[in-house]
Amino acid sequence: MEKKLIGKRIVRNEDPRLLTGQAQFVDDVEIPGMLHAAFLRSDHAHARLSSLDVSAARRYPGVVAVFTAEDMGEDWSPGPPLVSPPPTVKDVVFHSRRQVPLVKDKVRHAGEAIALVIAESRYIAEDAVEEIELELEPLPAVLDLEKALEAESCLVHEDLESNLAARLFQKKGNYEAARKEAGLVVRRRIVIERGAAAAMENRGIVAHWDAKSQHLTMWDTTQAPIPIRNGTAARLGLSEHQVRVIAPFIGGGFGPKIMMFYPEEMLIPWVAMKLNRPIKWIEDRRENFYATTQERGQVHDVEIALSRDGQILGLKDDFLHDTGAYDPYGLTIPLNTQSHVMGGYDIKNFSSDFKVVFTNKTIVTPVRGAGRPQGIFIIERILDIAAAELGMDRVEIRKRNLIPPQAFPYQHEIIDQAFAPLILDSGNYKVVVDKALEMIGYEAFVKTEQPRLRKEGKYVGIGIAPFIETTGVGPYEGARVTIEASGKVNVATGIGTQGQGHFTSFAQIVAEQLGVKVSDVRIVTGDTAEFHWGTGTFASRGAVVAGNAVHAACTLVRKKVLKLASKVLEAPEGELELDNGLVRVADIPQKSIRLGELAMLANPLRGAVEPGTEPGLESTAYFGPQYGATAFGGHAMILELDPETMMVTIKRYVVAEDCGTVLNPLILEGQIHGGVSMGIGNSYYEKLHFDENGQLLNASFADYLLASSTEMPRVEVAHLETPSSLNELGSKGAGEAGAIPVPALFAQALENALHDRKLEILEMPLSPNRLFELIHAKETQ
Amino acid sequence: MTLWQNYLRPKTVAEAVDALVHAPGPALPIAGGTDLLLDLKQGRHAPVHTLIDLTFIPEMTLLELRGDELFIGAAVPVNRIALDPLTGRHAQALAEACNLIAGPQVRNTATLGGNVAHALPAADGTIALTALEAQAEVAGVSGTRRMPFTSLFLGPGKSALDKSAELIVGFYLPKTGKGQASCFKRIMRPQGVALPILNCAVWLEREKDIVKDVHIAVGPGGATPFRATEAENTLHGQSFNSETLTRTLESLLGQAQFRTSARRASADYRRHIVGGLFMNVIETAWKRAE
Repeated sequence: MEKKLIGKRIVRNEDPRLLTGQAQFVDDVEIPGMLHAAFLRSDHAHARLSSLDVSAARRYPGVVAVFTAEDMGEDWSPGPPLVSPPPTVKDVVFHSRRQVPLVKDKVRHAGEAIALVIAESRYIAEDAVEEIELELEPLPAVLDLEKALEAESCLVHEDLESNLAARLFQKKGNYEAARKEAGLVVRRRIVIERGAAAAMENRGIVAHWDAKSQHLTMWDTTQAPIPIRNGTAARLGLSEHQVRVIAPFIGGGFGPKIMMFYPEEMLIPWVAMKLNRPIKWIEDRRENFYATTQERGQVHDVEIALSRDGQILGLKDDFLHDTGAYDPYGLTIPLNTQSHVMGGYDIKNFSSDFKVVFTNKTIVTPVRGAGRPQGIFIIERILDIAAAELGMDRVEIRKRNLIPPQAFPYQHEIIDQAFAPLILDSGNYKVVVDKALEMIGYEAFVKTEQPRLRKEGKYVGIGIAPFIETTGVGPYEGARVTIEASGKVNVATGIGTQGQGHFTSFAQIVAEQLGVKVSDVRIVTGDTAEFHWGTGTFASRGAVVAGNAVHAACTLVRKKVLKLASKVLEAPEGELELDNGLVRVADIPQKSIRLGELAMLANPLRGAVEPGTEPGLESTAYFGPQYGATAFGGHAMILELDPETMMVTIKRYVVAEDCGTVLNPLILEGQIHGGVSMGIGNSYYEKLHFDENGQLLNASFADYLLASSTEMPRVEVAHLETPSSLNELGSKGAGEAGAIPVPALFAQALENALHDRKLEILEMPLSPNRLFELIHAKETQ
Repeated sequence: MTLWQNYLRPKTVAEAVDALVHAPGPALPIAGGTDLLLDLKQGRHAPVHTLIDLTFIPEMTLLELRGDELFIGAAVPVNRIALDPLTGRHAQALAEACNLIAGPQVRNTATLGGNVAHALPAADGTIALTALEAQAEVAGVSGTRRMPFTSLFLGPGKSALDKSAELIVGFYLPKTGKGQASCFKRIMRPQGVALPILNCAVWLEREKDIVKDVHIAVGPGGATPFRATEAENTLHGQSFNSETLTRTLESLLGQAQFRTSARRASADYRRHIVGGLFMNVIETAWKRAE
């Protein structure tokens, strides 16, 4: 059926509120009698707590209370395990060590919270933090992933034998046998370092315990309000119905606002109950650099075996993954890396052994991309190097190995982060790559433009990087769709929103089926009082999983509408159509009834609701995919390098993206633009620098450089649609897509610009200075 | 912890010096506060007893011609310096430098005096003033005196001023005459608020194809704002061509002591990029002096 609204460029319902400052964020919440929180955080990355005296802070005028781990008594316990037990792969090792609300005996990363001050204002609370007397006995900081696993290394968790947090091995086919038959084997070590997610809005929490109604309300910058509600209720000994978690408008999630159960999330509601006063805590940027989770640190030893004509025979990738001081989020990130290191290529023999390592750095949980950019970086880098050694064209080696369309669903024969078999459900990969090449004008650029520019002395490079993105994982989401007496539609779902445009894309799904205006659909996300069940917004799953739940609920409501309208209009259901807020008989348009009137008839004030029916035009439905849908895309870019300063200007940037059915191209393109900007940061600007003591040296935006409008090229996006068979809408996720291939692409284009230097880029992120060092090292080799 | 006890707003330079000298505890002048307040808040500077706000002293917020000189009060916000036609005419390098300091909000409040008093070897305003051969007017208990600009600095972050008894009132710059021009440029990662990797200012006087006089400053090229005197000597009185410029650059590289700033730029990288920057700056200044 031709779609009227799905797939249309519809401007966002939520933007007028956001743009005029009428949207509520956590820091907008003001409650009479509210107190403010500030934390004493560790200056050391690894240290024993030898003494802590908070008495002066308690006496400080305006301070209401000060809490230490000791003050919490029996209520002190680490955060809940989030993603466990580990998968049922043979011989898996997993040591779960979760973050603690306040440090009891030992500090494990700089910025870890040691004490909490509650005062009449944030100013007072921060001043009182300075009054706390703290003695820490510094220990050697565990920072380097390889050294951390050496026998003599200091231990982050002393009850363990080593700093090994987890180990997991997966294979497909027989890599060693494939290697023996190979015409070329290429092996490299590739290092990827940490960055920050750097959402515009830092974290924040307001908790309000109403003792008289025995009810706790918590506003939280979380991507997953329902798990936070459930966990908070469990920790505080309350019924889930006594706790309401609201995730209002949020200024960016990007992963770290997942259901982490940060120390602050454990503490603020606990204190609100303890003191019977509303409490607000808003993270500042410096705290965010230390206390909000980060990602990307991995060291890979990758080996690829190919035939002389460029066929991949096998791939082996063993790697170390930095999980920071704790590992609450289990194996999600390294499993994602493992699932993406084969990319969209038909690789029959694969072997991968990863070790997760505890270090004295901020905790690692997914940041947009969540292990995927590393996997794509590895396969794309090693393919570039292999192509060079074979004297093959970069595009040719890729096309030769892409999974052909007839091979879908394609079994990668390993398990993914959802512990489900990694199956790439559908796609037409070569067409997408060709589209990207066509958009960037690859042939013409390489044959004529680039030689001409090189003659002029310009360092111009072109690159192309295909990638897969596993998206839309389960377990499930739900939605309740209600047609109200006004004729407007109310929809509630359990996920949170941090700028993804759910208020519009979900409204389109509703309007498509119920024949109402997109602007007449009110979407509620992130409020546990509105919807009880669900998981959250992460893993590029919101539009796929919650979107399909909304769709399923609409299907049920539509049935109710048709059934009732058929009776009222005395016409068969098959002859009815829903349009413009009414139900009408297709052939006799004047015979119609408004949806609002139908809703009133379905919820009568007199008479009885017929047995076997429910009042109202309302339905609730759930959607859980069998396994995640996998999107595919290809990015291409042309950049120019200033050979003096090593600064880069991106001349062209194109994206060909196949994420199945597109709900709203405008919103999708916005998502991709944002992702590309994050990827550019990850490639050339954003790197967290730690010193030998585990101190973060660039914990401010003056030193940690985000890609900004001056580095952002105009991004041209094309959509190709291979609908997923795993859900009714045929959609696949795209929330992380923009960020995933950029480092791989950037490295390739830089090498291409520096073709005469024969440089191999084996690390990310780079910087102008670092690129200079690499070139210099190559010259003096 | 309270970061200061007293905040004073004197109306004259004499009052300010008096307040500085007679404060019952550690005292510091403050103007824009864009560095000082952060340093106090983040514990890089010990708490002080008294802050003396200089921005209400009329003398210190003037930007005007005085005879053959341009006077810029130490408490003039850098944004005003960037936009004022007088600086555009007589201190182009300084106007260019002031237009690149931090972001617009900071430029609206940060002052040139603060830029200099911080004594960093690569502060944009400082490097421009070095090339422009500014003189500083310094006030103390015994009145005011003029100091050659470069004598204000002892080392990175170390000013030659007695901070407990002296303050900078303003700067005198020679007016730009015929055949004279200046230019300032810097290399930084593109983000607006990022700190510079390297900056360079040149003032010169040309007579046809001859470089009659030249001042060259590069930051950070040493522990204090670096004046490339050897390069100046190489170029002085020579004709302006690629051969003399190459020799000038060689002299500059021989004298400059580049250093590595953790996570921003290595000494080797700075040495590599200074040539391109210097050539760009001096060629621009040369064209302007036509």
